[in-house]
Amino acid sequence: MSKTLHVLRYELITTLSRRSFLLVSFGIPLLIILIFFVISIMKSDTSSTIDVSSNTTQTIELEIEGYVDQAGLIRVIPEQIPSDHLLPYLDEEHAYRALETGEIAAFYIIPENYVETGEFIYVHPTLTPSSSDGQDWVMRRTLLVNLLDGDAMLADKLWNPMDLKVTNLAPMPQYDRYAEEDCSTPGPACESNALVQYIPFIMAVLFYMFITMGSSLLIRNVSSEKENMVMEILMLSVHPRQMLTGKLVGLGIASLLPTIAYLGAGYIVLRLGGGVLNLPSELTIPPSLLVWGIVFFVLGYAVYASLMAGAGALLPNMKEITQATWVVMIPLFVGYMVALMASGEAPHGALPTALSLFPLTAPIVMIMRLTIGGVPLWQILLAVGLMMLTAVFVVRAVARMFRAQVLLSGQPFSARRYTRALLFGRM
Amino acid sequence: MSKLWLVALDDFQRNVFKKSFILALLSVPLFIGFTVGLGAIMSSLKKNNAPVGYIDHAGLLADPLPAHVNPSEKPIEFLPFQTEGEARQALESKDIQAYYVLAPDYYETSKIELVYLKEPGTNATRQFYNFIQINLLRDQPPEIAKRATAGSNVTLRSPDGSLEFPTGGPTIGQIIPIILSVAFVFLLMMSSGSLMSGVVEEKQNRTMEVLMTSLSPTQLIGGKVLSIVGMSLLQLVTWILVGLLAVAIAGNVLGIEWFQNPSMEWGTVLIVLAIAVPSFVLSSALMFALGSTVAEAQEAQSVGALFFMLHIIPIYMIVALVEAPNGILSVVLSLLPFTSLITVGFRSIFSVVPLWQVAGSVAIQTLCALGALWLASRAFRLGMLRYGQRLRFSEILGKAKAVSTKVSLS
Repeated sequence: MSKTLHVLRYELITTLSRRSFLLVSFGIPLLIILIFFVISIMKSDTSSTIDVSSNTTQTIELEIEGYVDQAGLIRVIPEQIPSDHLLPYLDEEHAYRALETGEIAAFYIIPENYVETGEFIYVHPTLTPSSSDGQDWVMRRTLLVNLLDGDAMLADKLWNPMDLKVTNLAPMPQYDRYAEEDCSTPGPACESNALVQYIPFIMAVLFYMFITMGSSLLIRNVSSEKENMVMEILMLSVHPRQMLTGKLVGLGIASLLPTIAYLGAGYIVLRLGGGVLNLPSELTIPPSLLVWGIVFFVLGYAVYASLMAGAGALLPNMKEITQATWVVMIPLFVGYMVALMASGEAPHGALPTALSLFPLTAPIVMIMRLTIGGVPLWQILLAVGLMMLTAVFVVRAVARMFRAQVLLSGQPFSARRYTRALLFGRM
Repeated sequence: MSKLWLVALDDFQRNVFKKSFILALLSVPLFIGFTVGLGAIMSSLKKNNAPVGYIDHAGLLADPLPAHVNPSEKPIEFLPFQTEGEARQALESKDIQAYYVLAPDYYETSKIELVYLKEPGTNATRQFYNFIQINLLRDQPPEIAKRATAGSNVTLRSPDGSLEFPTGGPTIGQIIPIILSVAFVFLLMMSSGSLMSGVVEEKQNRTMEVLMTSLSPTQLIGGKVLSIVGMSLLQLVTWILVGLLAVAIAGNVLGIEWFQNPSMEWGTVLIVLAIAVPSFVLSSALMFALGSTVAEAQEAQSVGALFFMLHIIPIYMIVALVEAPNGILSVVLSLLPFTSLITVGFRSIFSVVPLWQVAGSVAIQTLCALGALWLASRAFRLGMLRYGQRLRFSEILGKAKAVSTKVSLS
């Protein structure tokens, strides 16, 4: 036991005394908090100025545009569009000239075969696909009204045929695309604030980073000690299992500290920097998320760090680390990709729900779902239970791999040998 | 055979048949395939082909016309119900995925209620929307009804006609420059391991002394660089071939319109290549120089990520670049080393990058690349026989200064 503690203490002190580790783990979160603290102080000083400017109402005015109607379709201009804001031109040449002289801001070309193809051209000097200064709806509307022989009422009806009222009869409704705007919790339901929408996405990225970085420490540690022959000396006085336990727990504590630092910094920033980030006042991050976050990180770390330690035990040298890391991390990466894709649209869909229960993907996908909220308690408990069972199985399997004959061998790493060793205990 | 080519051939053969290289070679196509496949799975999970019910209190759907259905979709069956009770029963027994209720005053208010237990499929709601629209236009000629419900497609065009941009998103030909830029950056990241540990391996296993008895430093470094360039080219060619195959399959076999008739802007591709080559040489030389200064391979590998981060800075500023493709930030990032490649790739989708900026960028990248090559050879000479001790950059520059002073004195 004392030797395990020795290994644990050594790994913890060595890792925590590295300047680069301290800087990345605590320096960056601290810097983020400081920046937001300073900005929030500065913003509170200038709040009166901002209030004044925010009171000024912005009116969107239509620009004067032209059109060249080669299809001969446009006979009336809809009532919503002032008639002097959409000017007809005989041909493109005249329209270009008007554009150059500043008479119009842009113009449309309606080709002869518009009715068949539905395509028209919008010539605009500064338009980019993402900019909001285009007003091509003006021409869409005009064309629709004219297609319907000037029947503006029918065009209105067709433009918006459904004033939809949605009734979700599910006993426990979860987020879907018909959910009403809700900014009290992070997630896609808060359509008015992009940052609130992206918080689950950010959580998935952070947890992927934490677990990958934490478990990478194990593979690097074990394989470097194998490569520089320190392992041979250690084997004389420490049992392989004592070494595994010491390293796993020591580096686990070292990885948990930055996780808490980043999550804490995120929590403080959301509380402190709410004004700076223009977060809605009703937004609340439940403290239980922090608790579940730590639970899922610890279990995720236990599974992946053990798997990495096992891979490290089989690696003959450090050059093969990248390949081994990929083999081990594939399930976590799949979970990461699903979490990223599902976080914006269907966080509680069938695939994310299944992967949030599967032990190798749960640490990422469940955190994404928990951030949004609405996960039934039984699913959280089931995921935790399955992860605990997996962690016990993996730690025991890797402990079997931590034998002197494996640690001191120089056989090349292969995914087949690794799987065989992990599942059946055969090298 | 010259010793330089011997070094290059040996290094190439030793690395190219390694599992790690093959994995790296296939990783990008596999990653793209995986992402696209996952997206397709998630999209298909949002679809539901079960019937949808409706209760029409407005009389719009008394003798309904069928909805227009996309050829790639299965038509959804729309079942009429007389009362909400019947529809509710069908919903609870899972005979229908959802039902709509058209209000008696629908013609005045457009009010429709959607009732479900589980979110209905996107295909079902889209088809019902069209079902309503097409029945609103039942008195119109079919071609007019079709056009009015399908809407318009707008193509944005710059006044000089040099850029066209469909509102549905860029064409495959338009995004090739950015794909090429990103491919070069990935290539650099993939090669970083070999570049950074180019000579570290020889130093670690002490073969450097033996090599130095029969090779000049130039032959060794030249051979190594040639081998890495060969491996990178092999990767690039593989990715291009896999890309072409994917486009051909998607366009001709799967019939996806976006992939059909891909036209390429050769001028833009050449601009990206003109910037990519010196950028690649610049980063490679700097990585090689850094690899010569460190004592262990592990230490060298971690620096590779730094270069990747520098190259992808423009991706973090993508919103600003798209909003103002010719703004001051875009111009500065186009000229700066490392950021130039991705910035110009992005900008060429949305605007025409002025020739002076391209020429300036190529000139800056080339000058920096030449400087980096000089630095790399200097670092290699100073660090090649040094063990267990870092070579500091100040030392490289200091020594260089000392050597040049000596030369000028003599």
